[in-house]
Amino acid sequence: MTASVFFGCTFIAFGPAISLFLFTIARDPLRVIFLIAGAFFWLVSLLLSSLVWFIAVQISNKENASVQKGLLIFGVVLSVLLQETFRFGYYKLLKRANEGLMALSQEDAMPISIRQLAYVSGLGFGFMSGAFSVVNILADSLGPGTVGIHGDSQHYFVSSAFMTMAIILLHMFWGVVFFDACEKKRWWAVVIVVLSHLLVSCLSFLNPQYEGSLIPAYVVMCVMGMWAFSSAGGSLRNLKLCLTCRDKDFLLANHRPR
Amino acid sequence: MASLFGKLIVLLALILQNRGDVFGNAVEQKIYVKLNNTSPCVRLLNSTHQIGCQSSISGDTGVIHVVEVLSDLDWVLMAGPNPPYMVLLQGELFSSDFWFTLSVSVRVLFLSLSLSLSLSLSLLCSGVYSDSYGPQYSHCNRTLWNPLGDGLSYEDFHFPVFMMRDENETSVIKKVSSVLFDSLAVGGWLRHASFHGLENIDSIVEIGQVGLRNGSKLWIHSDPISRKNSSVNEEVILSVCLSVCKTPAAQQSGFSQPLPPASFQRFLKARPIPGVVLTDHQLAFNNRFYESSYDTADNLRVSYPSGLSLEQQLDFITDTARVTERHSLTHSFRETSLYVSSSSSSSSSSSLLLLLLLLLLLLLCCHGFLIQSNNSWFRSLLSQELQSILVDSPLSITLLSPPVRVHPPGPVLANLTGTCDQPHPGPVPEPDKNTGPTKRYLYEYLWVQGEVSENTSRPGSYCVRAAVRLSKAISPAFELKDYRSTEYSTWTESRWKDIRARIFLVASKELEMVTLAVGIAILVVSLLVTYFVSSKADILFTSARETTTAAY
Repeated sequence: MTASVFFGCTFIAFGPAISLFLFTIARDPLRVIFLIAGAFFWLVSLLLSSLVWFIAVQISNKENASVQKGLLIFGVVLSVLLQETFRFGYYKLLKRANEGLMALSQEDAMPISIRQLAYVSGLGFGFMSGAFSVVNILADSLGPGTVGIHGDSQHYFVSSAFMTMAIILLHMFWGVVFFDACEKKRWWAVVIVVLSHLLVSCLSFLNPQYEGSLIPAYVVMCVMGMWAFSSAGGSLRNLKLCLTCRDKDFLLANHRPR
Repeated sequence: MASLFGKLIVLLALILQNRGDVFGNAVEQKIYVKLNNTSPCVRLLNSTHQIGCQSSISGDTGVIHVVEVLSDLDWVLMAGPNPPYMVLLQGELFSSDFWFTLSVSVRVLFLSLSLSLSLSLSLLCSGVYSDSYGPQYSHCNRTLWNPLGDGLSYEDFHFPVFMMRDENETSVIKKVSSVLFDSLAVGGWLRHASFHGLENIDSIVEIGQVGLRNGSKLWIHSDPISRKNSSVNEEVILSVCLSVCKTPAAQQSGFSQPLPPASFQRFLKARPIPGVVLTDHQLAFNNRFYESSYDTADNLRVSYPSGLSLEQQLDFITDTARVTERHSLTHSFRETSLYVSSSSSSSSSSSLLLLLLLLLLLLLCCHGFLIQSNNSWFRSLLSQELQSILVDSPLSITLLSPPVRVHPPGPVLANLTGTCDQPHPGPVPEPDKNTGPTKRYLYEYLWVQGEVSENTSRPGSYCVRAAVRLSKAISPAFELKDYRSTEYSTWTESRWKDIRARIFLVASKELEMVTLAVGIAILVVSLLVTYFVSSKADILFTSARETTTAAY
């Protein structure tokens, strides 16, 4: 569908992620490292789940469509569970690493806080997940044709791009909430994260009814966004302060060292 | 640890790639419909001209438009708002003028459904007759051999042309077709070496198109110019005609009638050899589809009674084959079947016998060429490795394919004209040494696998000795490296590995622009928001639980 659709969909899918990376991560090498490591952890989880699914498909009856559909659902559920498991694994690894780094370094404060790590790892998960969701589709959008000759919806590319954007941001929010919940030992929050992840992934089975999959996904994203915002220390009051440009007064009034 | 990660990455990449191979690119399948059953027109060049079709270097794209009546043509050429167009032609109603109009239009990129094209008139009018040899017969002054031919095989088109061979594809899409230009080099060039030097040739009997006889008549043509020489004339009448003319239903064409297009003309160019050409037509061709892709069993009126199995059909002698004659092989073979008598004294009875054998040959093997080549007889003739070329459909011989395609006529001819030399395969005997100056082998030896019947596991194989040759149709111009030769053909073909067509939908410009605009808007907005949030992060992400944040 030519270059305009390719660039449009790329910006839709990766716009927020790229701007987050540029403004908050790129300058700090430590964050970059943890971002890439997080992406790699997601990749390994995908590898394991796709291995299991692949083996299951090979030993199954390939002619039976309902069996294949069932296996696909099983694959998706397994993949979600594995991703969250690896998120937890990454959390544990980061805790240990941070304690080790603290022991080695001379400084009192940790070089990077767990909250920042939560954000960075979530974004890393999101980057890799988004890449795998959409790069294949973007490559085909560069060609001269568009989807539709067999009756599929013409909005295939655009809706895939929007779904990818939602997924990337969701991974970031899930990361923040998840790490916060693990820190405070709030396991119900972890369960909610896993369940919402399952929900969003299974919504994709409603495609090509894009209204059915995109709108609930964005609703979940907004809810998780608000939850992540409050977990990270945000509040409505702070937001109002920023938006009405009264932050300077707030700083002066409180005068706390940073 | 790092090496383990590296191995995992490689494994993942391999698995993902495997998935791609196994399942195909699903997105691509949603977008494109590949046209699998097409025949493209290709580019042919000789030292001075080019014919055929070509596309742009990276392919051509255009909007499909069906042209069924002439008014559609006007829309394509002038009124249509989105040139260039891929024109789909249906039906056989169009003349070469129509094609010419399309061909010169820059708004046309062309796909066409099957038309019956015919060989260029000018090519049939070349040959031995020229201003120096029989000028009254040159340029088809006397006889127009293929009046239905429109010469489109030898036009030069600046766009690609395809012929759709599958009705399903055409009907599903409804707008796709292409024309096959059967633009092989005209006539194969016979290597002189195969015939041990022209001076060793006594006479020539050529069997041209013999399949569409009117009232079972067979016409005998000879060259009036060479027959002006009394010795040649005697030879033609006594030696050649005596045996051939005894064939029932044979009739001589007029003395002043020139030779029809035939390979014999090429021999005449070198030396006035006595000879005749047998055809089913006296003047113009009976075959409407000469050298066309419509030259098929149906059009040749080859029919078998219903209910016959394949093997029964093989033994059945159809009406067309009656009177010892059979369908022409001119269009199945690129070169007509040729019988050459090389001995200095040929008895008339043996010539007649051989002639009848040849006709029997045509009878038997045409089923294989016109109906289905994968039959028991062909299978018995070819060795194991070559049997893969036999198909459950007519075997058309094209010299463009790898040469293995040309094999079936060789063993078939050898089996029908040769002698069985040994009952079982053994050491190849010493080749006959010709007493002529060239000392080439007179005969070729061929091992035939024989029938593989269910009863015996061992096939009854045998060795055949025959004067059948397989020659590469390479022009002497290339062997002499005379690329500007006007004496020999210098035709070449420009080959591409992959010539294909596909169909897809194109998104409207509005949708594309909206997508791009939305993408840019989202990028800009997210950059702004992120900048805002990151600059105010200290404010935004403080909370009432300030005392615990330090340890966080």
